[in-house]
Amino acid sequence: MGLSFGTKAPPTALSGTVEVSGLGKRYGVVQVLSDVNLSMAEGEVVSIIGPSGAGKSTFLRCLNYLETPSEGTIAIGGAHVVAGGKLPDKASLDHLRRVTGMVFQSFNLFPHLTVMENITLPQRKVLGSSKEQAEEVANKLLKRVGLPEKAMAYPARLSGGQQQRIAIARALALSPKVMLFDEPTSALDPEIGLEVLAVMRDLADEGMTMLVVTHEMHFARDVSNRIMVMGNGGVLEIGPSEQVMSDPQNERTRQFLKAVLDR
Amino acid sequence: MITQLLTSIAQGVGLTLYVTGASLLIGGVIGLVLVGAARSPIAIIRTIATLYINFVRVIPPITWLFLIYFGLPQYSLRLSTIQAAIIGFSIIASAFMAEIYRSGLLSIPDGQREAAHALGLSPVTTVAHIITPQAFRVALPAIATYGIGLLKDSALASTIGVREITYYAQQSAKQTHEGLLSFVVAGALYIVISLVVALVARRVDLTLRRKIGVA
Repeated sequence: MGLSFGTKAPPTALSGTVEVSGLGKRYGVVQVLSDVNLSMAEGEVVSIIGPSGAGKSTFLRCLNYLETPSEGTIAIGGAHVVAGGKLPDKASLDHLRRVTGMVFQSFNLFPHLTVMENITLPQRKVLGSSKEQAEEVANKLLKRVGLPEKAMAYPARLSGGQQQRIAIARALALSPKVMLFDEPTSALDPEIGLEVLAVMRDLADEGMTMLVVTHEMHFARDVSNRIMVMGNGGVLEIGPSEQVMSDPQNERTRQFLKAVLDR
Repeated sequence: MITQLLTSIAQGVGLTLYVTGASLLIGGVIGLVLVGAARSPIAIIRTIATLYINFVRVIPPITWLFLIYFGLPQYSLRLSTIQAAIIGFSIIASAFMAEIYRSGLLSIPDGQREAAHALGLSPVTTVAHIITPQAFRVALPAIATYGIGLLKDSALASTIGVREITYYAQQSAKQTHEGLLSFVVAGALYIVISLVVALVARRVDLTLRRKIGVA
């Protein structure tokens, strides 16, 4: 590995496990999320499905503290955070963000920066990488998502699918241990969505731990190891993908799957 | 006759540009601090900034100039006419610029902050590299419009004796008894400067828009 001067990354190897217990979120008196438990092994892919308003996105956004959970504990890749009471210290939160990478429904690329700058800026500011190191990483990742020729383009010049693949590359550039996907294909037409799903499938094959909020039932069934079904701010059921899809245990799950599969 | 008037009144162009430019620049920097303070998590700082912004804007520019140039010497703070003008217009510009920045900030989607947060960028990096550049581009047309407004307001500096365009126009009118022509020439000079500013701003705005496609 050699010496790594100028990087602020912790030297210890981080694992890609996820351990969430008793996670809850309240807005005032409204309980939007209650008692969510999830434990994931390294390299596992879990899809979160369920009707709108079930708390899927809120749950995902609590994991990197985009939303502040009201109770419960989150342990991801060596970061450990206890919610409720006072805000966890900055070091723990930074660590949590370091080990998670997030991909949004609306891509959220930085429109005033080129694709290259989008991928290199976080590396330079967060990891302290040099310009050359960062560009090397960026070029590798651009190849990996199939867009090596777009380095100098601005996001506005790219299609939605291309923007989302760049967003994935941007997140991967920080070497996260767990990738969080928040409806990554919902803003794309079905055909364009496929190119994003293909990149995600590759990522899963390479052993990335992934948590995916999605309405793509084929992806949920074929790519993810397990499916977590959420409804009303809680977990309705969780189990092996094949089983949840073909033999759901919960009545609400059956109803939901019937609605999305029989259309 | 007209060339004679033009050459004498055009002597004021330098100071008109200097007072306008310096005030816009200083006001622009103070405005940044103000808009930061107005969004501070600390209530007292927020209140002071908001009060300043609203208080400054409702006092007419000429009142500010008289206050600073004729009022402050009473407390043995004697300023040159140019200093007084620049300070006065900077104070006014800071409040207006803060409002312009604020609207620029409001135009930035939450997703930008969320992405920066998820990537682990620090608040300082987020403001410096993500928010401010985008807010500035959105605010640019409004800044140009305000700059032209300030250019016109700068004519008021002639009332405290700053030798800018309007001052020279008054002098010429007195000396040549060509009042109408003198002020027509002065007006024409303001039009030319405004047009140049507007065209440059428009060009820059279009280029940015084409490149990054902000709304």
